[in-house]
Amino acid sequence: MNPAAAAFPRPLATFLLLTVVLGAITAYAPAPSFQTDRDVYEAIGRQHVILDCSDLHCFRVLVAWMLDPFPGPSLLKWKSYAVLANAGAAVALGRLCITLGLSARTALLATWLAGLGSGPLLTLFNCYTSDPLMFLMGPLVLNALIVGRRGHAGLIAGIGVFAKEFAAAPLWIFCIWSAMRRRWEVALRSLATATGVTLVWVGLQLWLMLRYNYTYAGSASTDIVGGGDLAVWLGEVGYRGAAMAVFGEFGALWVVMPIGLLFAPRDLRLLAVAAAPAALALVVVQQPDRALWNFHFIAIPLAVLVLRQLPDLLCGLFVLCYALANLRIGAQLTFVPAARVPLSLSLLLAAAAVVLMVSRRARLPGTSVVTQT
Amino acid sequence: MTLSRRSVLIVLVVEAFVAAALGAVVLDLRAHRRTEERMGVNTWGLRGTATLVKRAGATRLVVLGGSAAYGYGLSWPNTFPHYFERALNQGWRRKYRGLYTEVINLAGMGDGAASYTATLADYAYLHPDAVCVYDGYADLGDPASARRQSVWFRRAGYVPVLFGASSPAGRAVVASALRDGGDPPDMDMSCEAGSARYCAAMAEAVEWALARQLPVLVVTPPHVSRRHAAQQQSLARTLASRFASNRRYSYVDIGAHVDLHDPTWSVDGVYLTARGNQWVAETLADPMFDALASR
Repeated sequence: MNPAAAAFPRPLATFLLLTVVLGAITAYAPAPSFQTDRDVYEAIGRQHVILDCSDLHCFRVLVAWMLDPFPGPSLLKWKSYAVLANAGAAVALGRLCITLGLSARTALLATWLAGLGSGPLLTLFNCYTSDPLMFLMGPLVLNALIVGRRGHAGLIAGIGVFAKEFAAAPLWIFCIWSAMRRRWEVALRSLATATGVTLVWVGLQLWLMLRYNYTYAGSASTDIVGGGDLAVWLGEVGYRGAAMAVFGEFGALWVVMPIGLLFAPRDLRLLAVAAAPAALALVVVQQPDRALWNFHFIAIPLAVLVLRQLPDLLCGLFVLCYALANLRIGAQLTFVPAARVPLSLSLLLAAAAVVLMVSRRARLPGTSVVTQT
Repeated sequence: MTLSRRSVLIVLVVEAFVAAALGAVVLDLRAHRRTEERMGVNTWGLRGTATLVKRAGATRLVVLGGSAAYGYGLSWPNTFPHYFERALNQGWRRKYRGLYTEVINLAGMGDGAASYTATLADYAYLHPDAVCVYDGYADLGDPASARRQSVWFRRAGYVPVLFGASSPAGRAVVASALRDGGDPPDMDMSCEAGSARYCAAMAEAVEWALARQLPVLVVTPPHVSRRHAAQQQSLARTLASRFASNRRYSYVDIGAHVDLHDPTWSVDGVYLTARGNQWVAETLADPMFDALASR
């Protein structure tokens, strides 16, 4: 850990505040008008395994197994899980920013951007998914790895792959990152951890297939050569719709992220490069607009490097506009103003931050990440 | 606790072996997918795509047998059990009960009567509702089915196909004793003499099913020889003497109704063509309905 880094300010209070905000949003979020994965997850919760299951979600057992024993209506349990996991993910990202050497102010900004992003808000609208847990996994596992708690990271990810395969991704990203930084000893040890967790995931898939006759049933995600789910998705929404959906995923952050990457310290740039293979793989096998948010723990630290150039008031205004846009794009709240206005304003603020960043040529100090072995 | 570098390398080597093993299973699964609807078997060693869960209200019928029931030389949609399922679900049939009947083919290449009881026990987890024994022409008393020779099947119920682990083409046999002019030429094929072990094994399989209240339909397949016909007639008498009083037991002899020398029905004088299997399935539909009604 960077010894110069400050502690994340009031993490518990931030978590509670985020929980209240996200709880209010999910309370007002409408019920999806389309078929969700609710039935399959509820069945997994009740039966633990569904014989002959031919749905990809049947392999993602962890969240349903965890939630089912709790009393209360299913929707309440799943929405509560989504709120808590997303709030936790946002705070975990704040801590990761601190570990990466960013200031407490910047980390707080990142926390709110992560908590109110379109990805988390979409899961408050459609909560029957493993995604909130994965949003938490990314920063949590990467942070543990950076501070040298490889065993913890492996354990968390090893449990996480029972919810979704993405849980192994931070381990591989860290392994590649360590190799790119020529920290061979760390890379070797990370390779062992990442391989072990991936084998747990493969073992789970095979166990469910062989023991309970699970299949992917020709899921487009498994047809990597044929373009995976990406090809199907592009066929459905077209290139224009795809571009809009991908833009909506990060909104105005798309403007600042490339500049952040350009000006970021070498370690952070390498981290982004190390995440590229995993991001590409996930974009192919999953619906890309949803897949991309899994990498928010790389994208948002890059974005806040630029946004922090703005004064506090404008930073707050940016978060507000960004959140308002995402209330429509992600949470699908119909009573808030159309996303067009807040999105435009947040784009203007992002552009202003870019101008400030470039004009100051602000190479970022004190952000060399030290990794323990 | 931090592992030494040597320990980390050992962990990586172990992981490499585990990865190779899991990779082999993945490849084997893909091989199964490619072949199970053609000439091969699925991961459980069955032809076709069986499921663990019965359809709601459905009846599950398992077919026991050797290479004849397996459908030697034919792809899965041309086998007798596949046609049988279709025939048993044709709503226009007078005896159709309005319930779906699924047919699972437990037959194996080269399987003989001595393996049938073990096969029923191996697949008891499929929870069959009825049994159809469509015997083949294998050795009289070979107790081990082809799949039971796999340690993976015996331990985990999984039949690997990679590297020729379970070749569906390799074991189609007609027992030499069943061929006319076989050795010895004047062999008595009755259940009291040369076919004693065979008949005992058939009776054991029938008894296994009846003990579990499962209706059993025993079918004599097309005769491949006079010896075979004699054996089957003796078998029919033996089984009748033991089980005729049990309403769940029934027997059908189609042996003399198919001319295996007619290329329409068989191209090799032993195994049926797709058309032949279809005829057998349709012929057996009504007797099977009767057997199912005895549940």
